[in-house]
Amino acid sequence: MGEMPEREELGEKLQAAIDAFKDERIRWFIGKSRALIDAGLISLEKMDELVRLLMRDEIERHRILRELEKNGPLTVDELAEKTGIDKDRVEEHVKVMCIVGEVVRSGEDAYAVAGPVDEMMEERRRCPCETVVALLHRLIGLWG
Amino acid sequence: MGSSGEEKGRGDGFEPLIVAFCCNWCSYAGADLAGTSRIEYPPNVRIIRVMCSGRVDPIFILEAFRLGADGVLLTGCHPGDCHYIDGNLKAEMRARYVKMCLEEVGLEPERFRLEWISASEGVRFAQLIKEFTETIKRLGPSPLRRGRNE
Repeated sequence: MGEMPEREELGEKLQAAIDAFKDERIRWFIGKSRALIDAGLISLEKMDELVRLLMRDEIERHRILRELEKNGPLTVDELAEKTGIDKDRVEEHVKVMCIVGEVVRSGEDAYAVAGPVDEMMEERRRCPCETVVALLHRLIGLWG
Repeated sequence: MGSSGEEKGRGDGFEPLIVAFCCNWCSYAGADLAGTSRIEYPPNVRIIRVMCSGRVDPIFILEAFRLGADGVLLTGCHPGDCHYIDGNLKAEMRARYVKMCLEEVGLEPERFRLEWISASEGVRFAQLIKEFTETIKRLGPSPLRRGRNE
């Protein structure tokens, strides 16, 4: 990660954030946040925490997706090296992305994009399923 | 950003590029009043008129930063005065998350600010632009702007 100039990394992160904000999963949360808070279903602090977690996840997943599109197939170690994202988090993200069909295994331990990334982006703008899978993973330990 | 930001901003005659999204009914009219009242404020701001601050998608703000804006302002009607009832309250929540997002990607959240300006607050609009321009000068150029200029 040290090789990537700060500016380039920032540009990539910002682009990933823009892509993430186009996704239905983030838009839904942001759109409903005030109503949920006003209804007393969640506190402002808890909502902030949730949105922060969700945003971080989505930005990282977009970066992984773009990295795989550009340089894939890549292993978890290579992805972690190229994106600067913690290895454990990369591992979790690729598992989630495999389940929702955005990423496939390629060879022994590498991963590749499952199809054209632009089409996946379109799907992300409609479907919040990755969030559900990630929540299941965290809440009930989908992988033990 | 402390003193290094100040040195970075002041030393090389840095003039920030600020994008301001102003709602049609209140803050744009406030900006207009500042102009017609001949109140001076820094020429660093580029105003984009939108019908409501609630029209401003977080993507607009992030895209402005990606394209090299040093700072982004979002201004709307005071709470309770929105022409569309609660557009400004929606903008308030979005602004909260945009700041969070900027922190997440590693850009100073102070580069983005949400303010309420009414149609009669020309002086306040000019004061806000002065203050914000100073803040951005202290922070220095956006790393992405430096990239654009090279």
